[in-house]
Amino acid sequence: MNTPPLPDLENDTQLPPGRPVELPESARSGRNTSQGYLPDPGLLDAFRVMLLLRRPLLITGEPGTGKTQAANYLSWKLGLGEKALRFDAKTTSSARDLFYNYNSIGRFHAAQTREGSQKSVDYIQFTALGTAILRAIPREEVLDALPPGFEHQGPPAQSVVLIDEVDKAPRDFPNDLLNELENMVFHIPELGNRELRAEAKFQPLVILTSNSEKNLPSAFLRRCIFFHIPKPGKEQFARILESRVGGLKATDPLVEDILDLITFARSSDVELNKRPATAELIDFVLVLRSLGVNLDQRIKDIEPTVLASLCTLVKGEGDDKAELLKAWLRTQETS
Amino acid sequence: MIPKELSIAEFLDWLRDGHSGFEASDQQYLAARELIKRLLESDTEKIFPAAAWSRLLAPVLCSSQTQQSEFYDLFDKWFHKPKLENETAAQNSQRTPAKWNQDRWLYSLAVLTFAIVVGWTIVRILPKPPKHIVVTTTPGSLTTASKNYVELTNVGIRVEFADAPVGYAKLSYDGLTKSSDHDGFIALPKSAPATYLQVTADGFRPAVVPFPKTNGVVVLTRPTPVTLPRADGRWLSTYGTGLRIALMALPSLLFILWLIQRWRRALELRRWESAMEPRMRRLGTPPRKEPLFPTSEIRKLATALRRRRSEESAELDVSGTVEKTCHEYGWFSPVYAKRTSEPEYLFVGERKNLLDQQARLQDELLSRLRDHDVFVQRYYFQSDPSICSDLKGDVYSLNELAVMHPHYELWLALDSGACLEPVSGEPKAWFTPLEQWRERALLSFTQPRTSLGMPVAAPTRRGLESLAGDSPHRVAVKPYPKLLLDHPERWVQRVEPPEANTPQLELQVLLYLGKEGYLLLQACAVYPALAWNITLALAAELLPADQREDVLGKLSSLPWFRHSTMPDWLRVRLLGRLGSNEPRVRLALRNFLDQTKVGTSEKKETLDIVPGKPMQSQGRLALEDHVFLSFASGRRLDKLSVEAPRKWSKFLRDSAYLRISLALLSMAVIWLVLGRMLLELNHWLHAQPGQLVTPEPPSNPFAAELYIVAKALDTTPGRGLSSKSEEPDLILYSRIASDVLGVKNPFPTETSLRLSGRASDQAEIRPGMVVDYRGRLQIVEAVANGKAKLFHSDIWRSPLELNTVYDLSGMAMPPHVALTPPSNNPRSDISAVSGTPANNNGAGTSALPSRSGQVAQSVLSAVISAENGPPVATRVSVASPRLFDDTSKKLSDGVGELQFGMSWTQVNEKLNPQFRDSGYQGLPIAGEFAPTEVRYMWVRLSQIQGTEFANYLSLFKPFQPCMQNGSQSYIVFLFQNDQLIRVSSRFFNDCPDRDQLFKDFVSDLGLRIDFPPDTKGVNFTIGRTNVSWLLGTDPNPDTLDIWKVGSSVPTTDIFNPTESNRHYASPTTSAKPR
Repeated sequence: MNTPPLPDLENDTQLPPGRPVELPESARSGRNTSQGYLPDPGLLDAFRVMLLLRRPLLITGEPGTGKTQAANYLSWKLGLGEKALRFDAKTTSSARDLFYNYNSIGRFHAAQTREGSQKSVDYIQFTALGTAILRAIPREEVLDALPPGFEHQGPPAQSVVLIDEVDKAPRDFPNDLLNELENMVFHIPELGNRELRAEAKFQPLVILTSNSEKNLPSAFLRRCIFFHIPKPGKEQFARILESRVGGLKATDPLVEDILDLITFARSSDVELNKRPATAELIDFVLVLRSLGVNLDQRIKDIEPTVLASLCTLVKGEGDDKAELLKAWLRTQETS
Repeated sequence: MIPKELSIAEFLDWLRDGHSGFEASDQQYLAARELIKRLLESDTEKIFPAAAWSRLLAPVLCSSQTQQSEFYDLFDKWFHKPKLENETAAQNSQRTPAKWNQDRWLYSLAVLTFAIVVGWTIVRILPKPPKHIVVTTTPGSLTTASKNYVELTNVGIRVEFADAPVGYAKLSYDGLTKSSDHDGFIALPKSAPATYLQVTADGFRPAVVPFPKTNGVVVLTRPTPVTLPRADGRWLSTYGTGLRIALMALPSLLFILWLIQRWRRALELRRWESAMEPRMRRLGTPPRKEPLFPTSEIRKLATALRRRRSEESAELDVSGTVEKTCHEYGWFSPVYAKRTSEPEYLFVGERKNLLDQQARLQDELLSRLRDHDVFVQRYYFQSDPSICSDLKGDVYSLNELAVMHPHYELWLALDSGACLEPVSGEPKAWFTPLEQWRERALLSFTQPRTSLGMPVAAPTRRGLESLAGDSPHRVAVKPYPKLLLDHPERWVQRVEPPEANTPQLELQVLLYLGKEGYLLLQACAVYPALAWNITLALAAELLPADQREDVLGKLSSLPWFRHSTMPDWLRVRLLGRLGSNEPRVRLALRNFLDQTKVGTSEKKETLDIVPGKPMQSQGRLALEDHVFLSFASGRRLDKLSVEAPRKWSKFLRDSAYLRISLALLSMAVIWLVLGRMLLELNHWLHAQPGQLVTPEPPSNPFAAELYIVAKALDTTPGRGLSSKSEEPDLILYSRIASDVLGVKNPFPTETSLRLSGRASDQAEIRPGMVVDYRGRLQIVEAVANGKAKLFHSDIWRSPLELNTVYDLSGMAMPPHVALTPPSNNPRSDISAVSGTPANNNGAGTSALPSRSGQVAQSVLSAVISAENGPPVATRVSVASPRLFDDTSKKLSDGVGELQFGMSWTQVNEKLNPQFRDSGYQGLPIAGEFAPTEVRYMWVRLSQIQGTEFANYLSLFKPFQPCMQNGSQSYIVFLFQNDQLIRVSSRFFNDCPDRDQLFKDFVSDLGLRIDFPPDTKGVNFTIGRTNVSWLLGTDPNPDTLDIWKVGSSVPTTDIFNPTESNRHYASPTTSAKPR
């Protein structure tokens, strides 16, 4: 299939309504899979410990180092689905949000108007951990708690649950989860305080991520397994590129330059407010590939193209991508 | 290899005991134990490689990125310590490349020089194989021995072995050989001169016995097989190599002494400027005994701060909504739920620098609050709060903080004066963004001049308590020193402000801090730098527990503690007022420093010092003050210095000198080991295969006698010498030999015996030879495999260790003399016979001169068993040493001025009247000296009066009547080759009472003689002169002969032990009784 070219954004001509321009497929599409994820050896060990002790795993690390992907990778690796059941913590999140949401307005409205279902369970929407616990119980035991459309295979099953950026949530959030995470049990007051407890063998595997923006309560930390994903080095970057982008080798001239550039950008020689991480690197390479650059070329030969793509790499406020590129080129000349 | 569970468990225990500084909860440790158990239950070999153990344990035990990296470090330290040290060393060297480069050439040069010196020394001392063989044997000339009148009453000896007679033993005697009969008896001649007899028998060691050994028993011994050393495996003897090692190690020992001397000097901590980036050493300081903030108070404060507060939520309050909707007649009226939440705090505080002690105090407080689950986010700023930074150094503006932490309660820790414009008194521009926080407070020790629209509390625990309370109130603190309010930085300058009113400042500070606080301020001035942990330690030592917190709060607000430096002028002032508290403060400080440890994690409290004194920084801008560790060089420490604990001398390892010294020491050790190996290799290459041999005593009688004496000393139980200083050597042997053989000084001069070259150059070393081992002459017992075994030693010595060899095989057997039995005092006889004046206190009471003399007598007793023999010698003792000495001088080489060796002419000139002028050849020949040509001349005794020698002779009473009245007695001068050799006087009956004459002569000489009934004469030696008085039987004259030792004697002389005149020595020719 031919990839359509990028539209000319400088042309004054406006296309007629109803005839939108055809855009090329996203360079990232199909690449954000667990298959190409290269976990840190320490992370693998942390996974092993988690499997042995069945405790939640808290992963920290710089943004873009693959914390979220780690949960998907584990789920994929254990054959529990392509992706983990995900819950994105927010500043307003409460502990109940992790298990289910109850549409009290809808239920109230239904009660008022006598329209729609009069069962409370129909107004329940299970979220990540609630779904995982429900799946860890045989279907026949939870028929009364299954809302319409809930997928349950019947026999109990294991799941991986990702609670992303838990540090964004209010301080009460992790504290309220202590008992639930330890016993994998929760109650639904709307269903007569129905208790749902995961079978011991199929207790969900919970992975939490944090950007360390906020200290988590020590009581919560004590119940978790912890791993900090270290900053990848040049070799790790090379392996990640080969794995995640594909079709390139670390020995390709352009890839060599790119690796040098990102190493330079992450070093203390450069003052950047936001240092590029793995995700930025992958984006940068994908964009360059989309723009049709040749892997045999050097960055200095395609400086304008690289400069245009550097917005994927340099994101900090006040960070000058042109200055970064110039500085790097100077180091190349001197070396 | 996977570490064993026990090791991991020990590691966990080590982590948990607190010494590592790693903190984890009991729950985490339990989880780690459970993990280990599960891992060990599973197939760990396949699943978990060894390196993964740290990665497996870290997730369980760590709760943050910092803890994770700390854990990895600790794990490496526990299981791979050397690697960690190497890395640290590498990091250190990377940190100071210039320093290393600067020293490297010095190290290299020193090591190279040392290697050359040691190598050259070893090459020099390494013995070389002999290039040529020189064998020179020069036996010493023996002095003439004399003999006494002897009488043999027994005629044989019996040869026994183990109480059984030895048949067919052979006696070698004067060229003849006699065999023993089946009873072991060998008949001896009745008239035999004193000599040595050698008894041999097959299978026995030869025995050499003195003759006469009448009626004695000679006990033969079987030779003892000698166990040989291995030809190739024996190390060099300890002493020879040890000496070389000692010589080689001497420089090293001097280095060690130098280092010890260096280390003994006092170490001091002093502040110095440094022109280059110094290499800091971080010391972990001891944990605090008790927390700064009382736990109960912190818990109370934390509870107050964590008190939940009500707030609206976006959720619907179902029951409230139903109720309200009902009230509204079914009109949907939602009611939102209220919810409570813990408050979160944003602490934005000023930090002058990284060592700002007020910031540290606030950090401590916040840390304790965090421990009690109070959520506080900490940001710092330097003078201007509009730019803040977090612990990681990320920078944020106040607006950004407001966005990031909108619902937080803001605590701004800043001096209130800094919030207002100095002129207008209005809040500064950066104050506006603060209004974005609904809840905010100012933490300051001073109240602002104008209201800032927010509560003000002290930046202390009590201040926060007031904020957490329902009604924040003004903080009552003592007035801050006015002089410090405006431009407090001027008080931190090195130079005292000229306009300063320092006494007033001191007063204000005293009022502000109080008496206890002021003492703490003074104590903090002792250490050359202000350090938070030292401040805390001194506070714990000097202040009551209930005052520490308040005092530290106020103290840390002073500019010196904010800027973490105190100028020396102020230190001197404060220390000057310490008074009697100074020893107490210094002791507390030293105790604190004494507990510091090297190598610590960043998390611990630390103290930075710089080992070594800074280099000269002339012409270079000093970077910064640091606390340097240096030597006080024995001088007294000044007030601004602190004596460092002795154990801190380990930091001197960073010293270039020390590294050079250690390198040299290492080289010395290597060279010593290498040198020894080379010596062994050299010996191994030249070693000969060994064989079992039996040492044979030498055939030469003299050497054999020495051998027997040495053997007796070596093997006789109870006769050995205990003290090393009395170890037998050739001097002792020779003394014993002289006792036995009657030989004085058997080795007259060393050069006559000395062989050229080292012992290793000799062709052969044989038993009985005398060798010089470590400066002492000893006798070789056996030789095998090219090595020699000495008496009194079980070690086989290499020829390399034997410096000189004396071969006695050519030495003549001296004539024997009569011996006294052991029960008598042989020493007196020996002295008299040999002419050596003995140190005698009287007849029969002389003490043996030395231990060697006693040994000599003991050995003599062991060797000679003639217990039952009759007295064979006259006892002579010296009664008057003084007269004897005077006389001996006159008679030492002649008679007065008549010296032996003078020509006939010279002698004749002394006479008055002179002998006829016939010339030497005209003198008559004395026939009794034939075949030697000896000529003589004579004069009557009455004719020598007036001559010098006559005057001398007249000192002896016998001469006086003869010289005055004698017409028959005369004196004879005998010459050989025209040299005077003998003066002989003949006393006839014209000399009245010759018996008395004889006794007077002996008495005048100072000799006390116990004459046996049949005494025929006396013979003795003085110096080089022999004197004999032979009593004549009337009408024969008495004869007094004075002659030079070694000169010709007449064949008729009864004292001349020749075969022809043996009858004169017969005891049967008894002289007339006196």
